[in-house]
Amino acid sequence: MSEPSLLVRPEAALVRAAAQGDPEAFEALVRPHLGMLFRVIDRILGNEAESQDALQDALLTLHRELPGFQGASKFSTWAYRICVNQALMARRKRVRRREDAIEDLMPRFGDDGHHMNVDTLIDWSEDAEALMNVEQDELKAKVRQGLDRLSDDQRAVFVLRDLEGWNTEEIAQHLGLTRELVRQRVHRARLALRALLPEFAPTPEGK
Amino acid sequence: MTILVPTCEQFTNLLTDYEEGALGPLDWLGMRLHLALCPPCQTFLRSFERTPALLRQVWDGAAEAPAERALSSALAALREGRQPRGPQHHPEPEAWTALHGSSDLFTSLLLRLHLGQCPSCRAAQGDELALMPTTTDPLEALRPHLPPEARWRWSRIGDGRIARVLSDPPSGATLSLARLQGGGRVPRHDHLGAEVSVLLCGGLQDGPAHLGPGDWIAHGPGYLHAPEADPQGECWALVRLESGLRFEGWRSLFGVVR
Repeated sequence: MSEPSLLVRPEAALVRAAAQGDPEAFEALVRPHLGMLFRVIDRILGNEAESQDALQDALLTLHRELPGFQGASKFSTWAYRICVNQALMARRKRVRRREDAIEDLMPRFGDDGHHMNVDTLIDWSEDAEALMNVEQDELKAKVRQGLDRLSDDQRAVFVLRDLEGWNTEEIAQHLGLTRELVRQRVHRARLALRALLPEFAPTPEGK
Repeated sequence: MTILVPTCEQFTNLLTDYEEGALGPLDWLGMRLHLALCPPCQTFLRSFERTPALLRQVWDGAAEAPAERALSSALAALREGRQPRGPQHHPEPEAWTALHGSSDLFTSLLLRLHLGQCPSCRAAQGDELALMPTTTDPLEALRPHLPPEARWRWSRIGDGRIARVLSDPPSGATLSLARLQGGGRVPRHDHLGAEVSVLLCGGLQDGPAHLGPGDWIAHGPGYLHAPEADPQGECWALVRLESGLRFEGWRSLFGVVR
């Protein structure tokens, strides 16, 4: 009986074959998840060339560690965690960014503790979809710039919490932080990134 | 918050805690009252809540070209046998320079232990210096190179214990035995200098690597990890540290541990 096509072989069989050094099996195993793996690395690193290098390193790590993959989780979950760690390690090797680099993006309040410039609190949330359609490329560039202004620690926490959907407890355990510190970093990142968005809101007619 | 109804600034500062249900009942009530009375904060909250979803939409697609290039490069390395050796499981090629030298006896000892359990490295490096295990005692090959067991002083670290057995004052390097009970975990920490270990017995999960007896483990300065022993039994390792280590969480109060 002939060997089934790589595309229809079950994951466990691909893992076994790839662990024994079959590059085609390894390719069939990782290719369906390649976009997800690159995306999480790119979100954490924010630099395409560095993300490509980090993904390549992560893929070689995946291949090296496949014999020890015991199938306790799905392959994609295991691979995803390795890519997150690879990106966090690559990030730690870079020059650290100061935490006060987003002070100008924080909301401003008067001496009485109330919002200053109430008129500029544009309610863009209702028009968010229109905003997304009109200004995708410009918005994407702006968001990248905003994420680049976050400190390494803020960015990692924000990406895992709000873009990757981890909960606070998972992030705290993974990064060795307290839950309070995770919430504090997410909070400041959210405030900063929110401040980047209103200028893209459609201007009310006549203004 | 000391008063029942917070100001806009206090309200804004507590938004993430509010959304995650991390506030006490009085703070939560104050937030609800403020929100009911303050249209600017209602507007602010709506945009604050929508920000993550908008950012996810902006960054939903992944760039295919760099991901494909990374896969192609990795596959080419695998097909041509160019995948890097080490620094987990086997030493990196440059580490072997310590095997025959006399300037780094701790690394030399670790390499000899690894050679004793790794046929592929023996095939490449020769077996004359290999410390081959001859009994079921994982420390047997090592004992002639260590001070007597009565002089090992064990300290507890999380679920594990560590005993510094040798030190080299000129370089500051130390050699320690570490043991971790089955299923136990070393609290998350990083190192100020390089860490090189050889597993003597048991199984260990260290980051992505699952390691067995004889496996080589090397981490550069700053590597953050929390190794965990397999549940089946106790795990022992011989560890060379260049410098101290730093724990996270409440143990960070200890500062640098040497």
